[in-house]
Amino acid sequence: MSAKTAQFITIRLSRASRRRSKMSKKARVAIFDFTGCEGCELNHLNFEAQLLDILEHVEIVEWREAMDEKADGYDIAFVEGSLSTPDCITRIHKIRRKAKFLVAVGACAVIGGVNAMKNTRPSEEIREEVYGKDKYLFPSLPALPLSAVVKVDFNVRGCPMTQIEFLKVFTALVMGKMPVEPDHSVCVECKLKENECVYDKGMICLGPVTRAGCDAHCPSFGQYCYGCRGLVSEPNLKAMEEILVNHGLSMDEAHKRLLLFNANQIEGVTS
Amino acid sequence: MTRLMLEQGRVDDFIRHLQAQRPVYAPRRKGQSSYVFAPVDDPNDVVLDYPRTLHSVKKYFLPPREELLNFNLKANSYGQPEIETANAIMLGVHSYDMHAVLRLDYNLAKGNKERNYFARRQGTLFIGVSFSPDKFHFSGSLGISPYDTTGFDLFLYKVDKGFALEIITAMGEKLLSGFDLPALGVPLPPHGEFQQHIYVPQSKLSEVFDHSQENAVWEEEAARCVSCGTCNMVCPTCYCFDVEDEVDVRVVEGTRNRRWDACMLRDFTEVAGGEVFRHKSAARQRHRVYRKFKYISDHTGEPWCVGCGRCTAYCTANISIVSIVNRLVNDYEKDSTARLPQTQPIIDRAREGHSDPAGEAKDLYSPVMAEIKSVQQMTDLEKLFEIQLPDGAELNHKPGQFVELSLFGAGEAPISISSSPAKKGVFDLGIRKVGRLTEMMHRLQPGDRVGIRGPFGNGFDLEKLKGKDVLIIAGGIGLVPLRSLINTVIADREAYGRLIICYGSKSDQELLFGNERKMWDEDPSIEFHVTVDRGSPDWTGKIGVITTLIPELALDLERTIACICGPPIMYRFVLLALKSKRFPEENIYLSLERRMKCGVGKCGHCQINNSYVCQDGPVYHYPAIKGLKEAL
Repeated sequence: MSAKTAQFITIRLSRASRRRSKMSKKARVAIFDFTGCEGCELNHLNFEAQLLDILEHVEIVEWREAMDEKADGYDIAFVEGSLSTPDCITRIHKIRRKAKFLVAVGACAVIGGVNAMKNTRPSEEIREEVYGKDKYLFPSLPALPLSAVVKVDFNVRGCPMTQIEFLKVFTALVMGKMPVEPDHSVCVECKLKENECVYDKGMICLGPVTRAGCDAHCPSFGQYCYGCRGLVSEPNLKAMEEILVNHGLSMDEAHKRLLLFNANQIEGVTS
Repeated sequence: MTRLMLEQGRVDDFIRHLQAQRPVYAPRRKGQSSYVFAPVDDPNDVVLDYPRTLHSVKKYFLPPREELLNFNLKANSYGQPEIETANAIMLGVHSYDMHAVLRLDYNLAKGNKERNYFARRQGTLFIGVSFSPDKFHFSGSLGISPYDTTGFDLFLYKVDKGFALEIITAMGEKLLSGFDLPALGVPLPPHGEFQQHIYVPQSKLSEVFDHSQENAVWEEEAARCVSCGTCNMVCPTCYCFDVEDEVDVRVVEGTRNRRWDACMLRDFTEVAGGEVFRHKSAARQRHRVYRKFKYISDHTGEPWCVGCGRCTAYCTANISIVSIVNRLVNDYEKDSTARLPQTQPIIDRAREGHSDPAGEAKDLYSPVMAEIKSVQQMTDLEKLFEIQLPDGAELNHKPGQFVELSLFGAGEAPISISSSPAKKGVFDLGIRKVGRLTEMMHRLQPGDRVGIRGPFGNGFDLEKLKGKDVLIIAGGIGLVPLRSLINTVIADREAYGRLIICYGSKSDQELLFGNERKMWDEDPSIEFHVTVDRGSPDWTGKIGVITTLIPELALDLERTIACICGPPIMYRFVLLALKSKRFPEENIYLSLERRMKCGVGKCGHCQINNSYVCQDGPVYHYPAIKGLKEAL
């Protein structure tokens, strides 16, 4: 995170400062969803083991999937899903105005996710395919990451986001420090675990250009990396495609493989 | 030399004999076609005929992930996990990996001997096994044959129907006692030949690398490289690391962890302000290869690569370190008239092993808990903290040195010491809010405790300044470390000539040390010049960048020493301004900013070529770094 983000932090959530200011107020947290499978959100509900610890620090004030209250403002808004309709844009602006921190949760919110694959085809064609003659009743936009429309303070990447990482970001925010977002490849974490290279298993893998933070989960369980966490900054995509081609894919397949999660980053965000 | 015959059929018994004495670690299969060192449970799992393991035995002495400290945020206290001595037998180690351990011994002892590594490593016994060179091995070119027994206690040569066992040390002999083996009647067969070669000895490679900074190979290889860091992660002689604090979800307890890091990664050299000092992939590749054949080798006389071939074998882009080095050799031969002498497939080594530098292994990473005595808001972004060590101990620093400031949960950051050593009882840290740690630091109050390690770095050499005119050039928070020097000169005013201070800042609101600036301004023995890039309406002083102050200075060029500190971009322009005044280069000292993570010359993040900024810097004599790539 940049120096700018550092200055942006005005929230006082750390225990020490709370103790000093005799503030007993918990952080007000809201959870929202946009276009996505709600898998990330569902993952929030799986925090059984840590839920009581979490609730010691926060009060959840808005969460469609688990409650029906509507709050006026919140310290942290966790937002899942990509933005794909005009209505989404209005809503995300509203959320941003009410939130001190906005955290994008999951691949859809952070990079557009698999939804963004549609951005590579003409919008009219897709709408017709999905809605047929009623397509004019359903306005649609290219699937955008939240950051294409509003300022996002932190990212919890992955499809779905992992609890470990979510808790890391969450804990950092409760402490009042900026969470660390790794900017190196999945290979680093894969090698730390001394996994056999996926390429040596005869498969191809997007780990070399995909952002770490998942502890190389898929390669550790016999899968290849799909690239769900988005690309490292300044990825060498040409070299990555060459690696894929050298390991048996056609150039077209190689390119498509990279687009699965990263259409927006590779082809540019269409808005 | 007596060699004993270990028949294939008795290998399992041999392993059981070893297991009865100590825990045994040996290679075993992993995945479809890989091998790893692992604790031996069933001797049947041990594979002694293998090309290479994913990681070397390094992982047992310098683990991929390691807990350095565990802390409690409520009590603001910490403890250290106990370090377990492996006290094991490493069975089936190849000669190049043994040489890699000897190189790590050197690196982790040099300067500051690290307790964590040596506590684990001490007492480990090594049993080597010969290998058949495959298409990636090239250790022969680095003087390490498959039959090299350096560093081992016992050695197994692969022969027909089993292994020839050679006793190397008394410890090895002791291991074997009670396990009778017949003598080997026949001589050893020759070992397999290497398929990969670098046909130039290290002394000549050093010469080649002197001329290879600008070689096109760096850009060409960078075009194929995805900067994944794998080559570093699998290297048996790489030892750079990163440190990060992790906190449990209750925000009560946490750990300070280190993990292997890789200089091929873009974020490796990134500092809190966002600057990346080896931004291009080509520069990072060059740094990696120079680390293996030039920087450390110039100190030790030996290549710091052992020819295991891992970086090439595991590179998905098929980038070969042998091809890179041979390309440099060929290009150098083309450019120079003299042809380099070709050597044998297995070259002679410069030296036999490395004795690790003497000295006691120390705990390098535990801070002392110091108390914040006062906090003063200087500007919107900067605060000045007075810190007191336990029992009022003195820090005993030099101007220009820094400490590692530690806040549990946030981690550590290098912070320049801002007070003069003449100030007793407490020392000052001037801290700008730019990152996670400094953000948290700004919330602390007098009475709160913080961790301190240090002082680190070389600091300004006052002997060079005494009797001379001192010209201070400070840009922005560059004044923070230079204030220490200024106040040192003021405290011993007679010992120095003129004191000229040039201080530039973005705006007048961002000017630091208000009270002292007033004193400096009023003191007739100080020539104090201030300028700001942008002035507010009530600013009556100079406006302009810092270089605008320099032409007006009347200096005695022969007796003036310039001490410069500021943002990275400032140096180039200040040096140009001094040059146009014909200011002698040998009278210039600069303090550089880098990512000094460990402070003790181990983690590798602050390295500029062969120089660790945290040890050899941050203050540099300008002629020493003038031509150095990546320095300015």
